[in-house]
Amino acid sequence: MPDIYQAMEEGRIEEPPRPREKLAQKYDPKPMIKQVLEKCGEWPRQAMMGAYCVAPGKRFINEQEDEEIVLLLRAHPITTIKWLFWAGILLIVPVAFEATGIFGSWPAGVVLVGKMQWYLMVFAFIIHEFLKWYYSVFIVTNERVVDIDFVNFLTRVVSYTNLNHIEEPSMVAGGLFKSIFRYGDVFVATAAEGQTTEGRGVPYPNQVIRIISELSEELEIRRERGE
Amino acid sequence: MMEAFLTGLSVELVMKFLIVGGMVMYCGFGVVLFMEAKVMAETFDSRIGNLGKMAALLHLALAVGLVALAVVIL
Repeated sequence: MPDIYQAMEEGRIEEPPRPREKLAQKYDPKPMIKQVLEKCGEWPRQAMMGAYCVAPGKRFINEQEDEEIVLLLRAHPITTIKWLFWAGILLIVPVAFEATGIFGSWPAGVVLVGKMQWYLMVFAFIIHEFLKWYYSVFIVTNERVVDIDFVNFLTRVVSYTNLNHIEEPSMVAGGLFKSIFRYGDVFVATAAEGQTTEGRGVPYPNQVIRIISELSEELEIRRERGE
Repeated sequence: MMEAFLTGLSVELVMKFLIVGGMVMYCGFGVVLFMEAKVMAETFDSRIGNLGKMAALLHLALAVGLVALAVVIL
């Protein structure tokens, strides 16, 4: 006859259920992101020399556990033309001065050291401007919009806007350059007065707005479901 | 004593001190640039992060090297 009840062995304590089931239920945003991207006609890719990255699979500062980057944007590469032009001008300045013969009466050592110092400063200028362009990013995740700016050498300004707090995303794209190279400014306003997150000079602003709106809607639906 | 010191000074020597002093200060800026590259690299993971840090470090090394060269040449 089968046993109906079996007593536990002496000294053995029954372990409480482990939170593994809870871990298994952890929200995975990837399917939702894939669905939103498909809806917007997007796929994981990099365009405009890395200024427009869709689902790059990177981690960023202060990222939340169930957060995934959907868009990583930086200013269109054409916006760097201004400082590239200045770098070019600065590089030819010593040559131009030398051609005029202005340093003729100066000791050769001073001229040599001065020229090398000048080129070193131009090198520093290029490093600084490039890093500033590369790391000033506008990130759209499945939860938030994150704007990271570098205002001077060691100051990083990070502003966050939750997708469920967004009032209305808007964009400005006009003018000759912006129309030709397809970039513009994206503004994400929240219910709080005066709170706007901005992405300046980002590629395909209309597509960015569309993706932000879709993600915001999806988040709303998820919240209604209590997920 | 002060008089003897002042008479020993030449315009060239003063210029050399000023130039080298300015270049030493520039090395301080080189340190700031390296720190900037480090702070920026923490923003998100990217291959450029290490490249930026290396470029800033190279710039600092060149600045220090140039100070040494200036002391020898001038």
